[in-house]
Formats: sequence, C-alpha cells, structure tokens
Amino acid sequence: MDKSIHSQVGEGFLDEIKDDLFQTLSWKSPRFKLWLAALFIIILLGIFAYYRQVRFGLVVTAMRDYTSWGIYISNFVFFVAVSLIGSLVSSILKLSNAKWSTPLTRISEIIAVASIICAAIIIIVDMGRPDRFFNVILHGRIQSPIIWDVIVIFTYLIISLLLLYLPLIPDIALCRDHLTSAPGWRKKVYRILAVGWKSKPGQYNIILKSIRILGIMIIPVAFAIHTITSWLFATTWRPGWDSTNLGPYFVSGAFMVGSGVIIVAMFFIRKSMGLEKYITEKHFDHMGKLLVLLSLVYLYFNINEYLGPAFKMVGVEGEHITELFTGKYALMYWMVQIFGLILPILVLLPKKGRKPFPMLIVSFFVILGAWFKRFLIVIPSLQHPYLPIQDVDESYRRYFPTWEEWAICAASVAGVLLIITLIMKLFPVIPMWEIAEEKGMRKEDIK
Amino acid sequence: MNRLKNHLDGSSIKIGIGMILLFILVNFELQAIAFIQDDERITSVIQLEFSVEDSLKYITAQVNEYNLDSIGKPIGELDIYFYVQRTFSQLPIGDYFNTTDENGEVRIEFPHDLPGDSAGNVIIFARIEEDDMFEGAEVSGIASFGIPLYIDHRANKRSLTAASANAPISLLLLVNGIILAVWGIIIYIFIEIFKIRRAE
Repeated sequence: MDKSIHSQVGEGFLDEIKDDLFQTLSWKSPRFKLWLAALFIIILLGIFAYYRQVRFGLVVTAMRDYTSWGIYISNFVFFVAVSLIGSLVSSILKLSNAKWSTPLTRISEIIAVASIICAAIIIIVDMGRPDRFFNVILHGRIQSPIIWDVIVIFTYLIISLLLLYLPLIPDIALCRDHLTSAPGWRKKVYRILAVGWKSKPGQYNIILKSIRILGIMIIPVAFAIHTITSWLFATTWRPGWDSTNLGPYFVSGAFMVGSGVIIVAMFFIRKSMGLEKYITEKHFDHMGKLLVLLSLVYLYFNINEYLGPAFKMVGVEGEHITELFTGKYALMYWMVQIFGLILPILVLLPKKGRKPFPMLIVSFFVILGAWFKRFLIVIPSLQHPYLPIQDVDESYRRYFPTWEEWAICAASVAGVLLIITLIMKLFPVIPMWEIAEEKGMRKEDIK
Repeated sequence: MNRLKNHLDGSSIKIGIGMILLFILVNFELQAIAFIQDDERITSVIQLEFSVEDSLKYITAQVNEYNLDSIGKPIGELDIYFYVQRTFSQLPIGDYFNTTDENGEVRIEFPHDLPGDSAGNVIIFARIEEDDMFEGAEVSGIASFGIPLYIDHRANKRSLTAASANAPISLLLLVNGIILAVWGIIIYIFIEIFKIRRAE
C-alpha cells in the first residue's frame, strides 16, 4: 500500500479513536456519579474507623502480641502483588513484542499506580504511632528489610508513574487540542502535563527512549519490590516463612493476581465505556492463556512451598501445616487452592473458557483467592511462634478482624478503585497514538 | 576495734537519722560495720561478714547494741533486710523474714546467678527497717559474689545486627550503589521530560 494512502487510512482511524475515547472522559453520566458516591461512602466509613484507631489505639483491632500483623498486612501484600501487573504488561509483554497487549498497557499502569499508593497508605495505617513514620526514614537501619521495602516501594511508585505518564503525553496533547468543551481546570491540567507536545520527531525520540529505559529498569525493581516484601516475612522467626522459595513464590503469585485484576478491569472498562472495538475477545483469549501459564507457575511454587514441611512435619512447622491442611484454617486453605488456583487452570485451558464472561468469574475467584492466600500466609504463621504461648489472655490466641479493620481494608480497596476511576475519567484509557500508529499512521501526523 | 573507735570519734557519715560507719576487710572474710547514733546516743552496730562454704556464698549480719564507745550485747529477734544494688534500684535477697538469733546473728545465702560488675563485685546492703529503736541502721559492703559481667563488644562492630551507624560496609556499598544507579536513571528521565518542550 502506498504510504500516504496508508497514512490517510490511519488518519480516518485517528478521528474514530478520538470520538470513541473522548466520549469516555465525560463526567456527566449518573452511573458514574453513583459509582463515585458509593466509593466515597466506603472511604468515609474507613476514615471514621481509622479515626477510632488513632483515638483509642490499635486496641480497636484484633491484633495482639502474637498476631501483630493482621489483615492490614495481608492487604498490603495483596496490593503490592497487584501492582506488579504494570511491569508485566507495559514492560515484559512490550519488550517481548506482544503487540496485542498495546490497549492494555495504560490500564495496567493505572492499576499499578493506584495499588502501590494504597499499599503505602495501608502500611502507615498498620502503625500504632503513624506520627513516627518519618523516624523510619530519619533513623532507619539500612540492615533492615523494612527500610529496603520503603525505598523500593517509593522507587516502584515513581517508575510506575513515569511509565504511565510518558506514553500518555501525546494523548494528553490530543486532549489539550481537541477537548475544547472540557472545564477550565481540566484544560489547565492537560496544558501543563502535555509539556508543549507538538508531535515532533525529537519529542517522540525522547519518550520512546525513556519508555524503553524504564521498561527494562522496572523489571528488576518489580522483582525486588515483591521479593523484599517476602523477605519481611522470611527474616522473621515464624514457621511457614523459613523458606528459600518465598521470593519467587510471592513474585509468581503477584503476576497471577495482577492478571486476574486486569481481566476484571478489561471486562468492566470494555462494557461501561463501550470500548469493545479496542478490547476485543482476542485480548481476553491472550490474557486467559497468560493467566493459565502464571497459574501453573504459581501452582509449581505452591507445591514447593508446602511439600517439604508437610513431608517432614517437624515441630511447630508441622503444627502450622496441620492447621492449614486439616485444622481451623483448612476450609479457607482448600477453597483458596481449589478455586483460586486449580479452577483457573481447568476453566481457562479450553478455548471456550477464555471468553469474557467466564474469565470475569474465574478472575474474581483468582482475586478473592489471592486476598485470602495472603491472609493464610500472614495470620496462621503468627499464631504459631517457636516459643509456647503461655499465661496470656484468650484473645491473644486467635485473630478475627474487628469491624474497624474490615472498614479500613474496604476503604483501601475503594481507594484503589477511586484512583483508577479518576485517572480513567481524566485521560484516555487506551493509548490512542500507539493504536493509530499500529494502524499505519505516521507518528508526526497524530495531532 | 581501735580503728573503728577512731572513726566513731571522728568523721562518721550521716545517713537518715543515724550515723553509719563502713569498714570492710577484703579477704574471704569480708566485713562491713555500721554504727547508729540517735542524736548523741549510739544505739546499735551491724557487722557484715561474707563467706564461702562449699561454693555457696553466705552473708552474715551481726547486730549488737552500742553504748558510748563500746559494743554491747547482741540484739536478737530483729528483722534485717538484705539487698543487692542493681542498675536502677536495690534487689531484695534472702528470705522474706531474716531474724537475728539470740547471738544477734542472721545468715542468708547469696543467689548463685546474680551478675556483678566486670570483676564480679556486687554492693550488698543490710538494713533495719521496722524497729522503733534501731530503724534506719544500714550497712553496705562490696563482695565479689556476682557473676563477672561479660560485655559483648561485638555490638559496636559493623554487623547486620548493629545500629545503623555500624552497618557493614559491603551492605552500604551494595544498597547505596543500587539506589544511586536506579535513581540516577530516574533523574535522567526527569531531565529528558524537561527537554521535551524544546525538542524538534
């Protein structure tokens, strides 16, 4: 095809993309307002619960001397895990030239940014004296994995923000130039964030080079963020955490839950924003295959994690395994393993299972399974210290989260959804210029 | 005893209501002696003796009346309280009641597991606390009855368990090297973003 004709085809397509995506940026829909209101109510309830926690102390939670990490930490590990989807889609898939993933890169980066922000917040919520947070930075010991975690979380957040922002610049410029009816504050935001973008080759060179550098750099940082999170456990004296498997076990589980989250996001974004043209069944099919692969890898690490201790059944380690396999956490444990790990493999292996709706259901199981999996990693281990529990109040021996803990965790989930929603209502959720370029348009003509 | 008298006649140490004089013989038979003076009248004297028998350590207190400048008869049926000086307060030792016999003597066993200073020295107190006539009488003495304190200087060396100022050099180089490399790239990207406006 002649290049100019190709470009004209692309140009027509760009107009179509503009129409399709600019309509998703409207804030007027009652459904959107209702959604925002629901999220705000949940967040306000969480703020009230947190006010009670600050006012009366951590005694309002069910955490005591032994179970000193509760669902806040499970939630933290869950959010850190979800955030890894950003590096998987916008880096690993991109570097491996999986072109099909282009419409998903922005969604994945938005999810990554939102979850890492809330992961950082929830860790401060877990502190009995949040006013002392800066002491961690001022007087922190570089020997402590907690300091490594603080450093790597902040670094990952900045890289994720850059990986969200850099490919967004040409699209922000499109918003700046074409969304003339947008409110003044939004125009101002577009003007500032577009940093004088005029689709010049030199400008593209800068962002393409930067995206490539960051895309490579985020892989070790992503592995570090979740490996270090696993070291928070691995360096603590408790059964179930003395495992050399813990780092890859966490990382593989993170990629799996991240994929589940992006499938759910794809389903609802596609439906609610009318983007069936961009997020097609082909994307679900590919993501389904990816999820099966990641589930198999995670299954492998799960077998590694439990087989050794279960075979030997030594001391407290054996008690911990018994508690999980046949004890008071057995129901949760087997539900998580069957519905959160085996089911996705069985359903998504046949092509019929890789349709949007079955994938949505399976992904919900994956996400729920992943959340409870983190509960199972944190709580039963804490309840089996190496030294016997003696002469303590009965409440020290068990852990069931209080309403304040549930409310705060629900608020953190609502917070993630709110950040995702606001970013998606401010900027196009599909990378417009990348799609137009794939359709044959010259980058310089994308204006 | 002449030496004791000299102390009494001269500069005794005033504590509380009475006047205490301390005299220690550093041998296996250590002694500490206190004289109590109520206004002008000296009323009692406590002598401490430290001994070791079959590797058990004993503290013996001998309490006598004291009149003018001579030691009088033993005081029986008197409760003596024994203490060991710890960092922030005095730790009670002995039985709940340690009552002197008709010879004015009471003996307690020193616990075998108390740490002392680096030489194993501990300061031991004997005190009369609940007696109208003799209350406030106190004597202290130093005995090497404690377990010599071993100070672990490893905490001051560079290690993973040390304070932040003593982090291992290899770890500092590694962590800071990684941070500098990653943040160097991030800063470079920020500089590139600022160049976008002028790029052609």
